[in-house]
This record gives sequence, C-alpha cells and structure tokens, in this order.
Amino acid sequence: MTDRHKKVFLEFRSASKAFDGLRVFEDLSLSLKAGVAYGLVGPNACGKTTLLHSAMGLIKLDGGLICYKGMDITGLKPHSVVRLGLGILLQNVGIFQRISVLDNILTGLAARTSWLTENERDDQFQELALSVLSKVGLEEYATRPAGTLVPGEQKRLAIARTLFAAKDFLFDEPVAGIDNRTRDSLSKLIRQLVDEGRSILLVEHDLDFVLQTCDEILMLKDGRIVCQGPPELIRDEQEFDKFYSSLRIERPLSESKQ
Amino acid sequence: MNYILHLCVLIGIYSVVCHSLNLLVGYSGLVTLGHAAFFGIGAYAAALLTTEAGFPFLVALLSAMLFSALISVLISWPSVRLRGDYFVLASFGFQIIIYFLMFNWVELTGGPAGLSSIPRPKLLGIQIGSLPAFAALSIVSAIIASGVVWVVTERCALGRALKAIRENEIAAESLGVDVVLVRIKVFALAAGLAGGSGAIFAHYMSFIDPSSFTVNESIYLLSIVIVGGLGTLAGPFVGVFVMILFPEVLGFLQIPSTVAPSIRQMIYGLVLVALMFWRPQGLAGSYRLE
Repeated sequence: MTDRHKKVFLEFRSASKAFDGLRVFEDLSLSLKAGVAYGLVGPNACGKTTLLHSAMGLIKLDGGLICYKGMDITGLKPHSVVRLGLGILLQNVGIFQRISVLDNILTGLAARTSWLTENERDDQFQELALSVLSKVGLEEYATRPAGTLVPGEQKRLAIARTLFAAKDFLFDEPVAGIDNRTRDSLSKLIRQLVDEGRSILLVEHDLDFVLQTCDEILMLKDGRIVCQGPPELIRDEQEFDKFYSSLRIERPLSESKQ
Repeated sequence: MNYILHLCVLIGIYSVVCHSLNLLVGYSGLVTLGHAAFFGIGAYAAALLTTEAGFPFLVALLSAMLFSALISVLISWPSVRLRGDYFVLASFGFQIIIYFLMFNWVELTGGPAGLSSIPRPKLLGIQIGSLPAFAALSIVSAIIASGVVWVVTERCALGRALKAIRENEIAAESLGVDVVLVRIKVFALAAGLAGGSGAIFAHYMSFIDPSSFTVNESIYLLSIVIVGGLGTLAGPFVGVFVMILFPEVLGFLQIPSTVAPSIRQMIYGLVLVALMFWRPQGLAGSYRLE
C-alpha cells in the first residue's frame, strides 16, 4: 500500500438521514482511502444515491459529519464542495441542452472566473476542456449544441464535465444507458484516473462493471455497510453473493450490460 | 412627425427596460412581476436628484442606476432562493410595496400628485430639449443596453452560468456555479438598466406619478418580453415594436372612441393567448417558459 492510499479521501462519521420519518441510514460511519476506486452497491432504495448526494451537499444530513480530505464539508453548498475538488456525476445527467458541448464543459470554470471577464476563453482552458472531451471521444462535437447528442453521448459529456470540474469523483450510475463499448472505455478511464491518483466512489447496479473496475466494493443494506472488500474476496461474502445471484436471476447478465 | 418621434422615444425607453427584463426572464428563467418597480425607483431617484439636489443629468442617471441595483440586491438576497411560483409571488409583493411607498410617502415622492418640473437633460454640454434629440438619446440608450446584454450573455462567464442554471439548477450547482450569487448579480444588472431607463423616462415626461409604475405596468413589460421572444437579443426589440405600434394599427379600424381602449385591451389579450399556443417562445425567442 502506497502513502497515497493511507490518506482518507472521504469520511462519513455517524451519518444519519431519514425522509418523512423513514430511516435511510443511521449512525453510518465509513472511511474511504485516497487513490482508490470504490464501488457502492446494494438493493434499490437502500440509500446509495442519498449517500452521494449528502456528500455533495445536495441533501442535508439529519446528523453526523462528512469530511473530504480531512475538511469538514457537512452542510456546505454543492458549489463549495466542487470548489474543494469533489465532483459528482448525477444519475439524471443534467446536460445543458441549448449550449454547446464545449460550453457544457466550461460551465464548471465559469463560476470561478470574474463575471465580466472571459478568462475561460484562454487557450489553456480551451485545450484542457478539449483534452477532457477527447478522453470520452467527443472532441469532434465540441461546437455542437449538447441537445443534439444521443443519450449515450450525453452521458459521456456529463462524465467529461465532472472530470473537468473536480479532482475526485462521485459517479451515480455511470454506465446506465450506455453501450458496451462505451462501458468498457469508461472502465479503462476510471482505472486511468485512479492511476493518476484520483479517488472515486461510484454507485452502480451493473455488478460486473463494478467487479471489473473497482478496487474495493461496499455493500449497503438496511442503512449500514453489510460487507466490504476487494472484488476477488467480496464474492465469498454471503450477503454479496445473495445479492449478486438475485440480480442475475432478475436480469440476465447480457441484458444488464445493454 | 412629432408623434413618430414620440413613438421612437418610447420604443427606445421600453427597449432598455425590456432588455433588462429579458436578462431575468429569458436568460435566467426568473419570471418577475416587479420590474416596473425598478423602472419607477430609477425614475424617482433621478427626478429627485435633479430637481431637489441639483445634480447634473448624467450623475443623476448613474446614481439612479446604482440605487436601483442596490435595492435589487437587498430584495434578491432572500427572494432568489425561492423557486418558481413563490418567486413570482415575492416579486409581486415587492412591486406592491414600492407602489405604495411612491403613493404614500408624500414628502419624498409627492404622493398621487407625483413630481413635476423635471428638467430636460443636458448631456456632455448638449441640451437634450427637442424631440429629435430625445429620440436619439433613447435609441442610443437602447443600443447600449442591448450591447451590455450581449456582452454579459455571450462573452462573459456570467452568461454561461445563467444559461446553465436556467436549464438545470442542480447540475449547474454541482459543477461549481453559485446559483444564488449569479442570480443576485444578474438581478442587480437588470435593476440597474431598468433604473436607467426610468431616469430617461422621467426626464422625457418632465412629470412622473405612481400610475406609471403599477403592477399593470410590470405585467405589460412581461407581455412585451414574452411576445417578442425570450432569451434572444432581438426579442425585446420585436416585442416593443409590436406592442407599442399595435395600438397605432388598431387606430385604423375606426373603433368608436368610447369603447376603443377596452377593445384594444381585449385584442391584446387575444393576441397573447394565440401566441402562447402558436409560438410559446415568442416571435423571436429561443427559450420557452416551463
């Protein structure tokens, strides 16, 4: 284990959240190491997205603390969390349809520059935005309105936007609605990001993608982490095996990859 | 000829205030029923500064813009956090408050009697006294206002942030856009422009009273912006032309003068309803209200 791995990227301390009295999680504590790709799995409505959203400040916790790289980010607004370096890929993507693909990428920067300057037009930022677009194979579409992209391309654009805006990432269902080729290239991209020292927590229903991509897998059930471990060991866990088998019965693997 | 020049002055003044309203409604997705209040604040501030304090027109104009912008910051700080219909209601409440202040603060505003003897402006040593000079001033103001809106929306970081927020507030916030701050900034800019147009209006009319700044006026301004088209530079110009020249066209219909105003209002209403079905983004718009 390298020094990088010893540092904590994201930490939940006694986190609690309920909606209309319905408990999502209570007294949940979780510590995620830096430079690692974590996959968070679990049954529907077990609180996976709620956990990501509460880290980003999109949802307020009822109790507990969230720390990003040692900084208490509990209660911060999403834009403040992004500015510290933690970004999110939202499940519903949220592409800005009427502006260009490049402007979608540069939106993250727009908030940080002076409102009457045009710093983001500088070659340096343009190049950076284009290089991020090339990582997801969309550099040719830079000047097109984002609304003209097909859903799979919009998903790739949303990923590129998150990569541009932040240093570490929360991905909410990154492979939902994308084809197998993009799915494989996204897996490679995530491994590349981890090799560059980025930290990632992703929520995903495609367990094979999670097993193939992540260093460590966490399973959330009934508001607590019921098992945790690397892909090669997690399958020996009874809870995980039961969950994995149930998904394969519900939906054959080939279908889940579509 | 004088009447045509008078229409040119009104088209210029309304173009400025509608460009500013388009910043809020068209580019930011913030529907407001309080824009006439900022128009009025600018008008009263400039009128008081020139008549009571003896300020030169240009100083009064800039001060009126700044004052309107400052008031907007005080108002928008809490209200831009509201969403959708609640924001509309808050802007409506603000409009009512400002109207009643204009109406009842007699010592300052003259109350229902208003303020009179507002001098004709003198700009850079040139007396703007004649109708052609005023028409030129108001048209130049409209061009400057549209230029400001173009720079902000197409060449500045603020413009991209506005468009992003308009489409998906949560996604914009998740990319680092401070939604509240961006909206306060655009509100201040829009209020400043509206205040400036109010200042020109006051000095053109030489007399102002609260009846020019009612909630009906706010609705009228909103109608102009929606008819013209939201989220484009051409929209406010088109809307102002159509809505100001429309009564002139109706004048050819030989409607008896006793019922003409009511019939005109009804035709306005019908046009608005038809437009919402046929072209909800307005005649030259690129964005439709959700």
